[in-house]
Amino acid sequence: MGAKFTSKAVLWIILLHLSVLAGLVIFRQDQQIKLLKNSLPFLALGEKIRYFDLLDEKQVKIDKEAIHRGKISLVYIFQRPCSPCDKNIILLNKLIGQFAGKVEVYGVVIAGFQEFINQVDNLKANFKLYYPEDPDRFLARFRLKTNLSQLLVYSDRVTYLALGELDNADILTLIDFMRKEIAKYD
Amino acid sequence: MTRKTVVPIFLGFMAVWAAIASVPAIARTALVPVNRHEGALIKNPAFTHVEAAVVYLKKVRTLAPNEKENYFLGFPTSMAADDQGNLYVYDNLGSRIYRFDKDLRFIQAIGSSGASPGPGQFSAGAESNDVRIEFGKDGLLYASDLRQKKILCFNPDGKFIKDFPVNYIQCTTPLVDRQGNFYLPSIHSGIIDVYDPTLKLKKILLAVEELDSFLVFKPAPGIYRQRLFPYFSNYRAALLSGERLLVYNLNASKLYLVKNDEITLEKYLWPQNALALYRGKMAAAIKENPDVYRDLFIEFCQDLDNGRFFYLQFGKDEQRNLNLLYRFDVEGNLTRVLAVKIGKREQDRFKLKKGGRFFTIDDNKNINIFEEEVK
Repeated sequence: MGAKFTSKAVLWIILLHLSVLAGLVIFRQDQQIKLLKNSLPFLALGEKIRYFDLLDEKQVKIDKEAIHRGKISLVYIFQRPCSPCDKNIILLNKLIGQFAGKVEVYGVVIAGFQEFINQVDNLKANFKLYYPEDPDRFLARFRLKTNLSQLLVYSDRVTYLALGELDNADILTLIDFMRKEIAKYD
Repeated sequence: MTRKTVVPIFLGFMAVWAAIASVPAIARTALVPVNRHEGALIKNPAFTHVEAAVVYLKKVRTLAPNEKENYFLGFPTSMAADDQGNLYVYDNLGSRIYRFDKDLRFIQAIGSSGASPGPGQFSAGAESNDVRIEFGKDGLLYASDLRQKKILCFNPDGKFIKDFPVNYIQCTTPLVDRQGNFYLPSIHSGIIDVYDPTLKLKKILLAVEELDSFLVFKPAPGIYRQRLFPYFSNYRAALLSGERLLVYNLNASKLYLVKNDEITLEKYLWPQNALALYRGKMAAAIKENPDVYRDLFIEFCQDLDNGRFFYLQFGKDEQRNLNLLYRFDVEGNLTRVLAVKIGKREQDRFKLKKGGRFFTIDDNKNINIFEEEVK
C-alpha cells in the first residue's frame, strides 16, 4: 500500500483506461453495424461487393473483378417467374438503351435461369444474363432474404439501390443518378 | 332447226345450269355449322385477289429519348395524333401524356399524376388503368381515366380544359363530334350511347345482336358471357367525315356504318386467307384449351391520313413469319394487305397511321415506326 502515484502515472492510467474504453466502444459499434447490416435484406449503400462469382449461358465464369474495373455497372438481381421482375426487365431494356456503351449491365437470375433463356415467349432481356455459381453463397453475401428483386448501381461500391417493382419516380431518379455518375467518369 | 343443232344447244344449257347449281351446293356444305372443336367456320368468305399481293413494311425507328431529351416512356398504352402531325402518347408508368412533334422530338408532358388526382391529373401508379386518348372532332384531346371515372379534356398545347365524370363502364376511347357530343360504349344494351356536351343521354345506337356477335362460332358459355359483357370491349368505333360513325365488332369481325341514327352499311370483314389462317390458329388453340376464343383481327388501327380507310391487324402468320395488317375502305372493301417480317419473339400492335408512318407498340413496350418498303 506504500506505492506512490505521481501525477504522471495517474495520467497514464487514465489514458490507458480511456483507450481501452474507446477500443471497446469502437469494437461494440463495429459489431452493431455488422449486426445491423446483416439484418438488412440487401447490401448497404457504400458497401463493396466481395463475391460475384457468376456463370453465363455458356458456363463462362466471371467474378468480382468484372465489376471492379473503374466502370459503372448496373446489377439487376431477379428470379423467374416473377411478374414485377418482368416489368422491370422491360424498363431496364429501355433505360440501358439511353446509356449504351457507358454502363455495363449484369442480370443475375437467382432462380429459373434456363427457363428464361429457353423461353420462346416475348420477354427478352437486352442485357447479359448470369446465374450464381454457388447460389447459397451468393444469397448469403448479398444478404438476399426476401424474394424482392434488387437493382444496384455499382461504381467501386454500391451507389444506388432500388428494391422490388420500379415506378416512375425510381426510373427518373435512376436516370438522373446515372447521368451524374457517368459525368464523373467522362 | 335440225335435231343436230338442238341437241348440243340443249346439252350446253344443261352444263351451264349444272355449273351454276353446284356453286350454292358447295357454299351450303360450308355454311353448315360444324363442331367448333374442329375449328370449323359457319360461313365462307368471299374470294378476293387483294390478299395475294402483300406490301411489306419496314421498321424505320424506335421512339427513344436522345441525350438532350428528358422523358421516359415506360408502358405506353394509347396514341393519338393531331392535324399537324404531332404525336400524343399516354404512358402508364408516368401516368401522363407525352407530346412529340411530327419529327418525333419531345415537346412536353401533359397532365400529371397523383394518388388523389386533382383537376388535370391522372391516377398515379395505376398500372391497370387503361387510359385511352383520342382527338375529338372539336380539335380537343380527350383521355379516359378508368380509375377516376373521368374523361379529361386538354387543348392540343396540353392545357387542361375540363373533365367529365362518367360511369366507369363507359370509359374507353372517347369519341367527340364537332358539337361536343360524346359517343361512348353503351351501358343500355346498345353498342354506342350518345350524350350531349353536358353528358345527358341523347340516344342509343345499334342494338347488340347476340347471334351476330359470334359468327365464326359460338364459344363455350363462360367465354361467351365474358365476351358479350361488357359490350364495349368488343367494339371499336371512329367518327368519320360527313357525321358518319364507323363501328367494328371484333367478335364477329363485322363493320357497321351509321349516319343520322340509321345503319347505312353492315358488312362482315372476312378475307379468305385471314380466315384460313384463323381456322388453323383456333384449331391449335382449342387443342390446348377447349374454352379459348380469339378474335379474327386483334387490333383496329385508324388511318389519320386518309379517312376513307382503316386497318385491321390479323397478327402472326406463323407459316410465313409475318405480322399481317389488312386495309379496308369504309365501305368494307379489302383494298390492301401489308406485312411486317417478324422473328419468333416480337409482335407489334398497330395503333395508328399518320404522315405515311405506322405507329406501333411492341411486346417490350417500345413505340416503333414503320414505313412501306420502297422497291
